Amino acid sequence: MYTYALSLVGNAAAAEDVIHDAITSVLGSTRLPKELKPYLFRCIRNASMDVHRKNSREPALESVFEVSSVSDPSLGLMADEMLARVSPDERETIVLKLYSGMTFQEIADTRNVSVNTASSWYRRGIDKMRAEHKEEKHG
Amino acid sequence: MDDFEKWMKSVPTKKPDQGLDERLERLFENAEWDARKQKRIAWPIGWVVSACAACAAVGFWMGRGVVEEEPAPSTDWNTGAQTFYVIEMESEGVRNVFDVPPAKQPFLSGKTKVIIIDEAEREPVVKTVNIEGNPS
Repeated sequence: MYTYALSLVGNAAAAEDVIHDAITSVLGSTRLPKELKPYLFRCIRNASMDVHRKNSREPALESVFEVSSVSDPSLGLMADEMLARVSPDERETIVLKLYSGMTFQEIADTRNVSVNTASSWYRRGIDKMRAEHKEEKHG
Repeated sequence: MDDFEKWMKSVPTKKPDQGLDERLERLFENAEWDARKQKRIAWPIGWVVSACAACAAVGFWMGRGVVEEEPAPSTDWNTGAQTFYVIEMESEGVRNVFDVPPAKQPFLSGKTKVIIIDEAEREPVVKTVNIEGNPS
């Protein structure tokens, strides 16, 4: 949840606020859907859109990765750079799939798109990142 | 999931600080309290709203006829600091729902089962009362 919020709003404090707002909104709902996970993530997405609307200036995006990782500090930076180069839809889908453990069906429900669209966003994004990763390794 | 995807997945992501956990904990505590409060208030309100539509018309019609014939008994329903409101009455097989003091419903007589709300507690309580006297 936190990684997804952070990837959308780009800073830790705003991500925490977004999660707080989303959970407040879920708790305040009189009728909850059967599938709660996509609903909660959609609330996070909507709250993030509100943050973007309030801040007209594009904020500097904070990394979702632990760049000060003890094992390999460059790992986070590399992953972050690759993720920054794919389209916003592709990035969002990759974050939902890899770091929030969502299925394509849940991603489709969260984003209100078809499963095929969610799946191809993911596939395209991952392919671009993989190609870039190969280039960096060989170049 | 191929090796690259597994590698991507293994890159550690940032974790929220302790502050978020505390905020969410407070949020859940408040929500739980609100839900309890809402349930306690909504229960009798829901009952009145759902049950009243059918019964109120009959009660009003019956009450009107009797009130015209004889005055309402002067029952004092205030006992000390607590004020009781009758939500539902069952008398001689007739079940009615009211949102007015029973003293205004003189067609009910004898032992009457009522569900009342203690204003301080907001808890529905079933009591058998004598319509001519105070709640027993």
